[in-house]
Amino acid sequence: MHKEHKNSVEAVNKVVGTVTPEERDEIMRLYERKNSLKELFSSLMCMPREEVEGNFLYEKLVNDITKTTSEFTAWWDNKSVKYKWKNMHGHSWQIDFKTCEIFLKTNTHNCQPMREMPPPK
Amino acid sequence: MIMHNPPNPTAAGASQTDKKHVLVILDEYASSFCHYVNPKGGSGQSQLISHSTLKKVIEFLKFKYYTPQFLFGNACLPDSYELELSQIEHVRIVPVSHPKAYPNSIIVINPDEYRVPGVLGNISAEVLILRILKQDVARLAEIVTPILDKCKRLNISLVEIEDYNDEDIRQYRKQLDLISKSLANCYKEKQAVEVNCLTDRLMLRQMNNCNAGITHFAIAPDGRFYTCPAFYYCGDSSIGDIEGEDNFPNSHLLDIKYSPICSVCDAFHCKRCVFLNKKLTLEVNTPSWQQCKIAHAERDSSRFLLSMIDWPIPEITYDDPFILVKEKDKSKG
Amino acid sequence: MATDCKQLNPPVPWGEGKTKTITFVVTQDCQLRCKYCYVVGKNDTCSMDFQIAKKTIDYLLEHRELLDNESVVLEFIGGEPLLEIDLVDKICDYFKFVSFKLDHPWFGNYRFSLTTNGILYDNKKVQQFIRKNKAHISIGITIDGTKKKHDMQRVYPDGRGSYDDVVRNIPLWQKQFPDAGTKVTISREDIPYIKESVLHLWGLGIKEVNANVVFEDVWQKGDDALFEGQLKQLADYMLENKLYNNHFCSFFSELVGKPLDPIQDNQNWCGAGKMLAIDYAGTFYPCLRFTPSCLRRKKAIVLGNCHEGINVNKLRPFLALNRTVQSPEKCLKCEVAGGCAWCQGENYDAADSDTIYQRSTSICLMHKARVRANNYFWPRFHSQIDNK
Repeated sequence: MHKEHKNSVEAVNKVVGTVTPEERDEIMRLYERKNSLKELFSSLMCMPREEVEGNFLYEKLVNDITKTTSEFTAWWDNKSVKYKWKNMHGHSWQIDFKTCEIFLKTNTHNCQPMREMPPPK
Repeated sequence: MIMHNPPNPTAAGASQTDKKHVLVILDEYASSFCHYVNPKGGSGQSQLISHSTLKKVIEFLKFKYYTPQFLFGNACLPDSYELELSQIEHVRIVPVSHPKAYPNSIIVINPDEYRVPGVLGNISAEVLILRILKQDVARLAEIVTPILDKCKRLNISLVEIEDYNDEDIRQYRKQLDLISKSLANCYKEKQAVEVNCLTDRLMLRQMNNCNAGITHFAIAPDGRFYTCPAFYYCGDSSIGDIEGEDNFPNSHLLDIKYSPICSVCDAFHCKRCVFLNKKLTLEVNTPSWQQCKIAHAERDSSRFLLSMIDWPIPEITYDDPFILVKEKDKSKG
Repeated sequence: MATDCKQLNPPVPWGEGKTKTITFVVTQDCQLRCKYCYVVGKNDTCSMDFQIAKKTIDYLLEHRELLDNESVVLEFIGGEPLLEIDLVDKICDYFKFVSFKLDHPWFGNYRFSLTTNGILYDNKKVQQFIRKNKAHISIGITIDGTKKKHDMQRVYPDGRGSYDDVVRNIPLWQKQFPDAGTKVTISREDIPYIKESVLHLWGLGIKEVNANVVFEDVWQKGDDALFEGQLKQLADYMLENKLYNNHFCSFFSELVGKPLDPIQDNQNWCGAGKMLAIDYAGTFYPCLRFTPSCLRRKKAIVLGNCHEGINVNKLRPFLALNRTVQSPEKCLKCEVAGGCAWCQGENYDAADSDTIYQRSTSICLMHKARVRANNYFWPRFHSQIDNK
């Protein structure tokens, strides 16, 4: 196997780093909030249009989604620089909330970059 | 022992060796002497325990060596009843409005009575019980201070505790501090008077609770036993009778060691009223937050009283005062 | 590695220790008449009105001083909660809106949980609800084991078993909730089917089986020996096939049968009082088991309602309750007390007086049988792991 290819196969689904419990808590909070905002948005979109438009909640929600998404992305950017995690095209990092480990996972067609593992049950 | 008696600092709480006391309700319409309210009390009516039941009760008490406390209504007892009572050593708990003055009895002043002008001024007794309505707590010191020199021991008993909020309790604490100042003055004037919610805690190193159902119980006009009169008047089932029936499941829960809250508390003077516990929390072993906060307001006021009692005993250099006599003679020459 | 072994690592509930569970009893109606169900008065008239739920949510979110937990689980039960999916959906939406509007700490820190008989799981509205709340939802389907065992207890009013109508939804449920477990209740008649039922559930792909014997006083002489026998047979099968790596059954735990310290191990097992149950009328209870429809002998214990709030005095006995104060002498001296559970509602219902401070010991012999089975399993398990 070509070394680079071999290395890339070896790198996938392996731990590329860990974060502190405090850092884990931070991303978990952002992850939970992002999901909550997304689901609240879905619920809001199920309401009649005239109720949504002009609803101050809508504006507050949009602003919060923007802010939270930005913080979420920033966390990955900052930590990946801090810890110098390995990365590869077509792959993304995921965090195991239980162990604080960061994995490099292959992207599927459903996957977004810098995705994270589902939270503990 | 029932709350009218001063605490015994050496008593190890309730124990099997504590002598049992029994409170006998002589009159269905007897006013309360404690936290509970008799819905029939204060109406002026009277319905005495039947003579035959009283006779059986007294025989029972004599047989068991129990010391009774008889709770009176407003009616005088017929001679036949007095004859029965005379057969056993006892204490009488009598409302202040009772037409007859019984020596050495415990006088109860109910809310409708302390408002009557002149009532408080004419009192004199060793032990007084003052039952205070919530609406009068803000002037508690004004009511209490004039009667401090009319008794050796005053028991203040709050009514409607379930309606108290934090502000009421703050008011109560304020009034207790004022009473503490009056008490400190009494002591300076060499007048020894006890006030249950202030002075009891000074002498206690462990719990001294009511212990209803443990060291004492009540016998109602129906001749049956109840944990205390409050349980009778609220329609609870009896816990036994003279014939020997015993119906008191989980009676061990009355013991403080089965109360997770009370067993870690140091408001030793608190009565741990199990009736209020049951009424407000549905469990005899769990006090309501009002009872706890009131007990702690009293505890803190006791500390305040302690800080005001400042009677130093001067330091001296001799251990035999004869030396003073000798020195006096010497100086005379 | 042994440390990865599923049987050694029991699942930890989300937000354990930091979560307030609020249980909405949305209906007393159910398609089934399960024989061991504690809801003894099923009917289709006592269903919650949205205004009641709304008032409750408003109260809970506005009284942070009383409910200061980090996170919340809104649980929906019945009867059968999916019969009221529109109501459940509306309540969840309302909670999301209001908690977001109030910047409440619970927004972003919540879960919705339902336990269902599974019959309506594939219903369009149910699926829509799941999609809308996917990241925050936990749904458990109750399937009692083999068809024979399940259909013995979980029956329609006409006596028909419900297994076929439930099991057809299992693949969809597992696809959507791959780590979901199921709860299995064991009564007397179920004992001979324990081993095959647990294996059957594992065979269906349900890797986590949380099982318990009923707390009611139904156990008779000989049941414990049968129970022990079943657990040992299950243990043998698990060990032979190394099923413990990827499967979990709550009957087996290393903590079962250990002596308990009166001070260190004194916490109350049951969450009654720490959770809050609300019935269709908006009345608050310490747990579903204290509602009138779940009590055989005693009056319900009411903590308040959605109009007047929680009476904190009624809550105090529950929050002060611990293991030793409610346990009889034989439990305090028991050398194998670890893992012996109780239900506060059953304790209250069975007590000699109106108190929650008398622990029922109806399951004593069954617990000891479980201890013996655990003492059989764990040494063999460790020996196998060590030899590996």
